[in-house]
Amino acid sequence: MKEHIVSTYDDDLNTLKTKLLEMGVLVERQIFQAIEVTKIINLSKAKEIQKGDDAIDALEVEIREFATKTLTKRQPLADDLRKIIISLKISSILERIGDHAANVAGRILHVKKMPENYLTDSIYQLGQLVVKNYSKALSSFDQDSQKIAQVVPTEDVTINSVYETCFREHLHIMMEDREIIGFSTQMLFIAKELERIGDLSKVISKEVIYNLKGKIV
Amino acid sequence: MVMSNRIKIKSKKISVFYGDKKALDSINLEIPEKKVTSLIGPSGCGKSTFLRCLNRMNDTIDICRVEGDIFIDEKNIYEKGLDPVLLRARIGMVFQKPNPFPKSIFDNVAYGPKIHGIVNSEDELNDLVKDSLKKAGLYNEVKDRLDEPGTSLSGGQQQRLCIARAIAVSPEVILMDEPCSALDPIATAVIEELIDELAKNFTIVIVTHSMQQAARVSQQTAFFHMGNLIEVGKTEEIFSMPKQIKTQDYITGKIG
Ligand SMILES: Nc1ncnc2c1ncn2[C@@H]1O[C@H](COP(=O)(O)OP(=O)(O)OP(=O)(O)O)[C@@H](O)[C@H]1O
Ligand SMILES: [Mg+2]
Repeated sequence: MKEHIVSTYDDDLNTLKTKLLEMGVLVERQIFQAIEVTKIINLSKAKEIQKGDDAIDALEVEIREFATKTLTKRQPLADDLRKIIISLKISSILERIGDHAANVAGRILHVKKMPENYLTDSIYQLGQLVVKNYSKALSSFDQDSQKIAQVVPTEDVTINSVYETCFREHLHIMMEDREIIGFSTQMLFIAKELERIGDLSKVISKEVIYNLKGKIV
Repeated sequence: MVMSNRIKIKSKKISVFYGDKKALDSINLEIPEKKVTSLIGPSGCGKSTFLRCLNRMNDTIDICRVEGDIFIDEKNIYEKGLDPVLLRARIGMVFQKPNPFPKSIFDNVAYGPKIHGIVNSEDELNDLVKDSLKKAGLYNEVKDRLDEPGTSLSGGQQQRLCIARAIAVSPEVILMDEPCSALDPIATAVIEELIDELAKNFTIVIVTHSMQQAARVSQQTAFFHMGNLIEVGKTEEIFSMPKQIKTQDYITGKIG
């Protein structure tokens, strides 16, 4: 890897990436835990997840300030400029993903406990796919890998169809058993949040691909 | 180059030697009319040498030899029998350090039109001087002191005086070799705005060491490296997605 003549410039760009990955990992943990509380409902855990979103918001602000400072200090061009722009874009996507994870936890606080006759775990399964695809999107950014990034949109097609299936399944459940309509409705809202995380992971992968295409090969 | 403009200057296989040393190696470059083209590259890469080929200023350097052709409006300026003095009236030049003559502000601008016999009367000359100073954005600052020496002006004003002097002979092309390097940011901004304005009527070629300046003022950018033209293209593309690794390394300040 070529280095800048001014080595502190490299330090700045590395710091920016490190902060972004730190944010990415934090978001990943939030999604993971939010999915866990849909299976084993745990209200104090859900509250923790909601609170955890503050740290993510704070990191976004930190990244924006750091990027702004780097822009004014270095007046970057070409690949350096693209690196900073993508950091700003991805950090704002991560912030939104963080919101969706917190929303899942919020829904759990509404339902309080799982009815005994709610027997499916399809939403948990959907969550597993979503978190896995999110991790892929994040590593494609980490490793500057077009190969990994390209898998994400394909996988998201699967996620969308699993979401549709969940939706129909829950309509069915609600028709069969009127007692769990309230709970199932909340679970459907959760499914929607997860599906949005899937979409946003796809947006990350597209940013990565776009960014790499501008690169000299 | 996907600029749909008419080409004003065409350099064909231009090589320049100082004694035995090759300073430019077979440069092919097209310069669009009434646009700003910036030449960038590390010190000693041949930017000034190339600029001086465009008005045959290199002819004045004894040890300098130029090979190849330069066409301005399809006419070869290296053709035998062409008078370099007439050529220089068509192609104005502005240098790094403002170099007003040790004369009054008025005479600095009037000098060119007089020797080239562009004007027929005192009134015409007065109008032309006034008009050139206006175009250079200097008139309001100096209109009450036209008799004072040009050297009494500030650096930025002197540079605009030199621009007024260059445009007074109605050139078609203006060459600028690092015109802002001796100026502060405000004087620089004034000159840059002026360059924008001038590009409506003139073809401009500017050498600059500031990437940001090249990005601000020019539509086309050419990157030189060790006597070679590495890459030329739309300015926005050169600075956002250069095609050559050498260009990218230079504009982003990388080594290794
Ligand atoms: N009058 C001269 N006599 C001998 N060699 C010269 C002369 N002028 C320039 N050169 C050489 O030609 C090469 C190109 O010089 P040139 O002045 O064109 O570079 P430049 O790109 O304008 O550099 P800078 O950014 O420092 O102004 C250099 O190696 C320089 O030493
Ligand atoms: Mg020079």
